[in-house]
Amino acid sequence: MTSNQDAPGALGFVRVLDISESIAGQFCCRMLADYGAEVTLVEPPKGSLTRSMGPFRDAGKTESFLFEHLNVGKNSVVVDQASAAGQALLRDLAKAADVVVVPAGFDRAALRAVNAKLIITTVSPFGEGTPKSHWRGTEMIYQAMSGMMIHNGRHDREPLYGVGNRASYCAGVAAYSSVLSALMVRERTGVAQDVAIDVAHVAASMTYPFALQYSYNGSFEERGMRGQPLIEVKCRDGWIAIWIRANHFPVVCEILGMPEMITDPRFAADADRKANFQQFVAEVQKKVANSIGSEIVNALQAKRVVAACCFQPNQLGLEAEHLKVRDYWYTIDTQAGRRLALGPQFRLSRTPRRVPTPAPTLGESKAAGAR
Amino acid sequence: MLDRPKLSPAKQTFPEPSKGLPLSGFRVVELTTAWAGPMAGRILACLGAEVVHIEPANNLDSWRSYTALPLLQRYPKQDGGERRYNRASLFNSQNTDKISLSLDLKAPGGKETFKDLLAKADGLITNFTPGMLQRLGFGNEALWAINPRLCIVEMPAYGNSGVMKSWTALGPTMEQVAGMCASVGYGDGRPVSTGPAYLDPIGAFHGSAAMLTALLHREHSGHSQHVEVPQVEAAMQLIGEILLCAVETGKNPHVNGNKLADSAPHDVFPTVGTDEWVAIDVTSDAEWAALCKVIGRPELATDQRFATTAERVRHQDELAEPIAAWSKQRDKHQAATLLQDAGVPAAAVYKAVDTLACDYLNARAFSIPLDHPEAGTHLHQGLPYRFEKTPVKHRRAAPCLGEHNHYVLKNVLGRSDAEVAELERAGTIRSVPDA
Repeated sequence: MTSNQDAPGALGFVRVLDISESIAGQFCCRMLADYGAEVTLVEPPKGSLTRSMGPFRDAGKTESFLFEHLNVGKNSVVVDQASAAGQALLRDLAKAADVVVVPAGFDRAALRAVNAKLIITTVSPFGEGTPKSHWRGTEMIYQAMSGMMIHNGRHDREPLYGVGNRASYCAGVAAYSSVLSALMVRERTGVAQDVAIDVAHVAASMTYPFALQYSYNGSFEERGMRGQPLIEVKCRDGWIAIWIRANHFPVVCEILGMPEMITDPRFAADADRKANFQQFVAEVQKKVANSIGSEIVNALQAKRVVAACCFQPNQLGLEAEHLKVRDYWYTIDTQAGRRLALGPQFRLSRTPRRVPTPAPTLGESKAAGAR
Repeated sequence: MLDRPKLSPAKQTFPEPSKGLPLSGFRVVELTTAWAGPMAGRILACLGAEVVHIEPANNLDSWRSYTALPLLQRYPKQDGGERRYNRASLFNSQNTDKISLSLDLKAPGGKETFKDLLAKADGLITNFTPGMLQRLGFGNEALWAINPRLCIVEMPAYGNSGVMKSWTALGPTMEQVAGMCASVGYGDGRPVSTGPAYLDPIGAFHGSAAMLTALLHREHSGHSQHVEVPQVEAAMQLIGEILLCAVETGKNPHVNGNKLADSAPHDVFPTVGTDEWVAIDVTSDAEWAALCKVIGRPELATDQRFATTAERVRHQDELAEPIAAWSKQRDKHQAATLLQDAGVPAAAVYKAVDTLACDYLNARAFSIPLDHPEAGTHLHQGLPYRFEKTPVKHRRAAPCLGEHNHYVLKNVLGRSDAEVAELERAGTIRSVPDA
């Protein structure tokens, strides 16, 4: 990814202190940096918690991919909050900031006392003063309580939480929107305020409307039994997925080279096809096992059928054709060697995201000033 | 097609705009369908914007579930009623607080009405495949000729350029391309997509964040802009550390149910009941010792097989047995509470009924009753935004199809009764779908 380094950022007027010490909080601040804010990561003397969270580049576990991903584009400052000097430094930093992101239980009053215009953002697992404030949150815990996990996986197996930290990250996106909303209010009325995001709350809000359906009529669809017309089959070059709308059934059969299925009594009528769907999946699997999946997907998409190849993470690098033409990856040269950063979540026509500076070493400040 | 009765239109209503919320005074026009786009609009509406969801009566939002074979479990009392497109739980979950304008852009006067509305709008958000706006004659330049202050957000699955730009997509297929499904499974190599499409709410949070960015930038600088939200590329950010590791080292994540390669136990365990589970994530030796005490097996804390994280990972099949023997005797909520009280990350795996009963979510007023004229009063699930001075919540149930046609035409655009009647006669605005 390349872009005009001199173009002003959309949030070029915003200065941020990241004291969040969480995936959600640091991702929120990373997005603020992406779109032009000057962001300073406030780290304890031993370094941010995310520096010691994997996956790691090296066997010695000193270089965290997680930390790098969450903190490109930020400066770092070391603050020992246990010392009076550290607290004084923090107050000075807060005086000059527009936004600060903190964990639950942080002394917000001390920040408010030095800066009435500050947007103070609390990002935490279960919030403050709730019946579960004292609970420990990790990604699987959020997924379990979201109402989503129970629907993931096979009917005859245990539910699956997913992969990585997706709810935590999405809480970061929600926190970003909270900050922007509060900045909007401040911009229009001059009034600053506290805002808050709980990861568990975000996770619950990401769930398909099962709870409303239950409220409507008491029904509940069990895992793996929802009858979605989704086929996942393995081809010679990997897995592909096809979503078969009723009106697409004939064209899918034609493209897969199995026109006899169109009139097969097991699948002819919509209701029969639904009842015998697994038999159809088995027929397709037999047919495509030695075919090139990407060619099938191309042919299906040419007929407007929803289909896609299943990519392994290591197939999504610099050489991935679909990302290359999009100029997706940033490459960043650092003293330690070339580093990669993922492309932007959204592309602004007038104020594009700049190539980020590398994630800071402890106490390092080199991200360009915002003002 | 099914034999459908002649339908009568829904009643017209004239809602009051929001006051004192972060986006009060902003108007956003929404051309979307299904989940990601409508949820993005729902977020903006909840934050105070007047969001006008344009839904042509001859091409309904797919989440109005107006399909030939209705899934009865989508409707109140499993009954579609006369106008089941107004009673669909899917649509009604994602369109709270919105204005419904059932406008056919291709019918006489349709584009003129759309233009007049855009002239009075701050934002336009869409989630169709790229090129749809251009084909209708509304590329960026044309839009800015109508309204130079318009912020435009498009949410294409794969971006507005590139080899996949014209591909159709749904959450479950986008999740495959994002590198996520291959990283979830039972260890047999078969990818697993999230039961209900997880990429849709992710796209919604991104789409609404994009609109907020453009609106705030405009508020500060006076300049509007176009924002492209390529949903798959955006979602890749949410597994960024996994992608960086895989791309740089070639190593894909370990896939074996809920188990992790570097921490154990990290799994679900059966509890009392059918398909009821407790999730347990032990992240340190101290938590392991606490868990052993809770399950009444303190001797396991000093068992060499489980002494360190590495040993627990190596012997995770053996440690599952005593945990399951304990959990099977307990209610999932009780099991989770006992563990959390001892400092061990744990949670009941919720079903819908648990979501409605959860003390934490209820403390957040996550499920609140909203009255819908055709669907009745039900508990609707909310959004996670919390503001000290401008608190937001869902204020109004989702609109019936075309419920605000007259509000938009008369109150917003200042059209006369005769002009509105003419648009209705021409079928440009309707509140009854095609059979």
